Amino acid sequence: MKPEFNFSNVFIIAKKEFMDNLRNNWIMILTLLFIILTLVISFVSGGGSLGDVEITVVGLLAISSLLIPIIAIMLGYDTISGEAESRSLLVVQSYPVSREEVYFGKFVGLSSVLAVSTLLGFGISGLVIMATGGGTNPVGFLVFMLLTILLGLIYLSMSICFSSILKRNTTSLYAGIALFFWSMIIGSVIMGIHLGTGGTFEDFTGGNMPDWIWISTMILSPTDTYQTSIFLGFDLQVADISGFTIIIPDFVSMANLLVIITIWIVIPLAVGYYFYRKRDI
Amino acid sequence: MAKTEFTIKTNDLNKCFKNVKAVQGVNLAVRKGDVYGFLGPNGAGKTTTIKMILGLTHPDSGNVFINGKNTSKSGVDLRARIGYLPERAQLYKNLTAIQTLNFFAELRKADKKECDELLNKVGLTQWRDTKVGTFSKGMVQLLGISQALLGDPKLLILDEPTSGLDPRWSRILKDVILEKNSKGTTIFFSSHLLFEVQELCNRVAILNKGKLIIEDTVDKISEGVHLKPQLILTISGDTKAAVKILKKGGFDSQLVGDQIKVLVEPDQKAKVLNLLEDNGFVIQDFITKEPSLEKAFIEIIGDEAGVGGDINEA
Repeated sequence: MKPEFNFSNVFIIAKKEFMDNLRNNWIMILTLLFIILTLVISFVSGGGSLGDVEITVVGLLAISSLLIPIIAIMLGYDTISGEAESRSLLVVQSYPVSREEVYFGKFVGLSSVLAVSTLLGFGISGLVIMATGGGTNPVGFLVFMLLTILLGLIYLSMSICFSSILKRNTTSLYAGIALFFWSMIIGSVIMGIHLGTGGTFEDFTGGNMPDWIWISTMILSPTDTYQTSIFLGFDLQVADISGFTIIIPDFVSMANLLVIITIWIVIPLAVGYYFYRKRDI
Repeated sequence: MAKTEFTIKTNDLNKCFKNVKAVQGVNLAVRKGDVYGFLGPNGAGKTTTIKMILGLTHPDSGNVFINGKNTSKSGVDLRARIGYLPERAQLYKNLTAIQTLNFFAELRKADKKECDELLNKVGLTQWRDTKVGTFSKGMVQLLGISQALLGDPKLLILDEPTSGLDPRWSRILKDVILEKNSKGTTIFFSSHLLFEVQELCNRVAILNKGKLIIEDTVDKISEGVHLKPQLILTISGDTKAAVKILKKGGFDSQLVGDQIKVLVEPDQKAKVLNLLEDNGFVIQDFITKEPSLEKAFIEIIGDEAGVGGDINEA
């Protein structure tokens, strides 16, 4: 079979994924939670003086780093294995539509759900910050939203990849859970290695992290990469957060981070596509 | 390319899953206009064969031709006029019935006006705007049937289409199949229920353990296995004694309720009746039941292990 790509088919698939998943109860609950938490953070940290933009950013980061991967994994983990098991995917692929159109249509559709979730979460809190006299850095806030969507795309791409490789819905759910834990602990693991090899805790708090930590977290931990890029987005190359000092070295530039984020999105998506073409549905 | 008289033709299809040979050397030939029954016990490889015909599963070896075109070399357009319903398919829980059909109509480039007509045809109009997640299995199956009919397909492939349907809904489906066929649509459907196939099909293939055992017309298959018709008699008097006399006369007979059932060659029927009358029994009524495909089916695959219990349901 030669690849066939018709954008109108991609759009039809994407639209269906969007309509179907936007009404998914889990996605609605998580989005609502996201909105509530960002609102709380913006009230608590920004409501008053709003002098401390770092606190707001760190607060929002804590929420988005946790919830966005969960939402993305929830969207992606069963999109192929689950629909193959429920047999709706068989129906779809019996239509005059190619595997690539279905696969990328799913990615586009699920990405839009993720984007809507993120825009709702940040949009509402953004409005609150502006209304309470904040909004000192609207560009930084916009960059924050876009980078958050990119973080979601990384996890979406990886969970779709697992969904494409794995036969059964339950195994791809386990893979999704494993993916989430990896995203949560890989930073700590690298820190643990640093402490275990003679490093000190003060290296982290005092803005004295060795380069290899920056490099390895940048490459291995999408969540850390995301958080670093947010700091850069707010021009916080040197940041003081409740006694912690973070000094981001020059080679950790926004451009480099964006390249790494792009690779994290593209590679799993491509691997998943390879397996989807070969798959016996 | 040879003259294209076959809607579906498979050429030595093989498929293994791990160590299991699911399909072995299957050659099917479905002619244009056939209602073709694909029979076999559960696990015989019917679904795998169907998935290979549609390009959903990749065969280890062998080819599939649809309207004379090799499916592995042709584009997706080959599937433009094929309607398909997998076995026990679920659809999208968060979409309504009409949203589901609209989605499929767009994919097939069919007129969306058809969607409401089809919902009406399968009797789901009142659930038009209800989420499919709340539907019963039978209703989902009916919605699945209506999507298969979108765009007036020239070939309908239905995998165990009556599973999950109660008799009333089953009737709707059978009427749809016959109506579509009368308008020139070729129908290919699988079943493990023989009476369904016998009722609807003109041609039958029987698959067991991944191998095609026979492919022929329904009549020829019944004929080919030399099954005797059944004579069902209602007589007055001592039925038990009558059965004894018949058995003594060398006839395979048994008492079922008040009736006596005798398996007998057509030219021996008169002898049975004479024997009973000679012994003083009065025959009130008798009917002849021709051998059913079910009997042929059991005869053909019965000696092999693995005949599922559900065959007897038929």
